[in-house]
Amino acid sequence: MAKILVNATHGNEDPERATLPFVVGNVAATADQEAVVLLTIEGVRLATCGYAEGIHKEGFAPLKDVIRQFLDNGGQLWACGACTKPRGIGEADLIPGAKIVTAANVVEFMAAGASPLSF
Amino acid sequence: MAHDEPPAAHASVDLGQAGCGDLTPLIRGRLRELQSGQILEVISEEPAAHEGIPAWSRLTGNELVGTVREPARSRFFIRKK
Repeated sequence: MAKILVNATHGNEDPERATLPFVVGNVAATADQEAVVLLTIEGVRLATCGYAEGIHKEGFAPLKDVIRQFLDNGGQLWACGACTKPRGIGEADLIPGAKIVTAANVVEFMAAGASPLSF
Repeated sequence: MAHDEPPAAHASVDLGQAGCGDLTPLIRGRLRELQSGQILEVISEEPAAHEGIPAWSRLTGNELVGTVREPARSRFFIRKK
């Protein structure tokens, strides 16, 4: 099992960039890989309750469904603490399965061999 | 790999034009319903399936034991590990 780190940097201002990380993450999770979607910058809003509702890029499943599939298939959803804090996002705002992490968690995961991909 | 006579499948699923991000997660979901050693037939109209399914097979160890190309679709036979 390899470690796969998919970085999502966009929220609803770019539905395709918001959706693709979860599509890839879900493929990785369903291919028996340890998959993490790391949300940074505006992407951290994707981890908040209700935010993904209505984000639907043509040609993709609705984002809320893709996120649910990703989590149900064992994917991990991390939100960058340095990005959630200035946006007023706390643990209580997150969807079940998401968590706020620090840069040290990201570095640890990459130091352990995670391959990164950013959108 | 190609077989003149495809292996007997225990179950079959037609995934139509599902591709890229949908195809292999759907296969995984259907495969969960089978027992180890059983064979799932996957029917796909997605041309890229010929790239994606073998890659997924190598990653997961669910062996692709046969492929049949037809004019508008292909059939993939996957043995559950």
